[in-house]
Amino acid sequence: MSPHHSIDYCPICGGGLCGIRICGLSSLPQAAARRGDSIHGLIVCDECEAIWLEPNISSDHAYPDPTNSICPICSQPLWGDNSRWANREDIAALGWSAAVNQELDVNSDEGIA
Amino acid sequence: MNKSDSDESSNRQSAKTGKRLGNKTAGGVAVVVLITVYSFVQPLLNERMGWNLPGLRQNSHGQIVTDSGPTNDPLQSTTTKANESASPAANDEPGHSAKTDNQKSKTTAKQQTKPRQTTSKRGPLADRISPDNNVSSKSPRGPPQTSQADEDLLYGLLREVSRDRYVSPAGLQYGPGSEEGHRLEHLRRHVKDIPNRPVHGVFDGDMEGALKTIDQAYERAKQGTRTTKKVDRGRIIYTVDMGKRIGFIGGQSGSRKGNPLARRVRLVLEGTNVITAYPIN
Repeated sequence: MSPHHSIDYCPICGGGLCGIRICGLSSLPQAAARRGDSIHGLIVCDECEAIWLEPNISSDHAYPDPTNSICPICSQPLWGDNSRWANREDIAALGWSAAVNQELDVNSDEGIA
Repeated sequence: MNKSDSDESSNRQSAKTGKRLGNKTAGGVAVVVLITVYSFVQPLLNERMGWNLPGLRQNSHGQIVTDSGPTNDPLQSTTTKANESASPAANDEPGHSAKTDNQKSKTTAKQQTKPRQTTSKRGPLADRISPDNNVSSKSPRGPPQTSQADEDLLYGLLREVSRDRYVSPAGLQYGPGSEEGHRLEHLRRHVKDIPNRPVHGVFDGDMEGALKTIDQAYERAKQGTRTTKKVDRGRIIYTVDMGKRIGFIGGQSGSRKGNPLARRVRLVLEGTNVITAYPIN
């Protein structure tokens, strides 16, 4: 699946979309306790899997383990049930709406192709 | 009887013998001509008139024999001595058909070759392979050991080295990972267009084509042939110019431009583990 909303093309691999991902959706008491909150956002390239912790791809990035990708914030599976590509509502909750590049929107979750 | 009488008698006998031989030769030629004409006309008559005339073929001694009607194989009706040396299986090859093939004989040929093509056993994952590019079904007469080896390879190319981990002939590894759960499933995204994506590289040749192209790209990358290499925290990003079309650019942008061809491969690795690979222009 491609990200619903992205902020840019990946500056590393060039062909991936730096999509906005929301994580911490399931009730994970330990993770939530560690973070002090439940949900958090990530920018993830959907091709090379580079991860940014803020919607700024000139900031530092990291890569997950290629066989066991985990969220660098909550250490839960990056592609598990507690995480998904963010919809517009999720992005608003994260406070990252201004970072979205609408030209890179893929899905029509809000009626935008 | 004097000598002249004897000579005259001898000459008369020779003339008679020559005449008989001449008649025999002419008869033989006529028979050959008739057989040849018949062999060409028989399938046409059977087809157009609905008759069931017996066909002709040569046995292992080169003698012409008739086929029984219902089981007649028109493909073999013009078999010549020259191709007798070929194995019987060769006569079942589609390319072995006579020039007088009609639609009926073509159908027969297909029916004969089909079971041979379907005898090749394949694993459940290999069933996803496009039949057009199926290495396993290349030649039914290939070396048995190669055929057997192909059957054990995923997409005719990848050897399973441990559970869910596959290695390509060039040494690239495909294992669990990515949003799709496995790198091969992620790669599958790049063998079909995703029209609503902003831009999307698509490999030619389905999974087999993609895997072969990626292997070739990796070989070129290792040799440094028309390759740029970037290393970023353990990830290696190769961009390899393949010098020919290897796919096309799809997605919204590709569609707007008429899906231009792609001739470069972007290959992202960690060691020899494939993270992703896709065509770019």
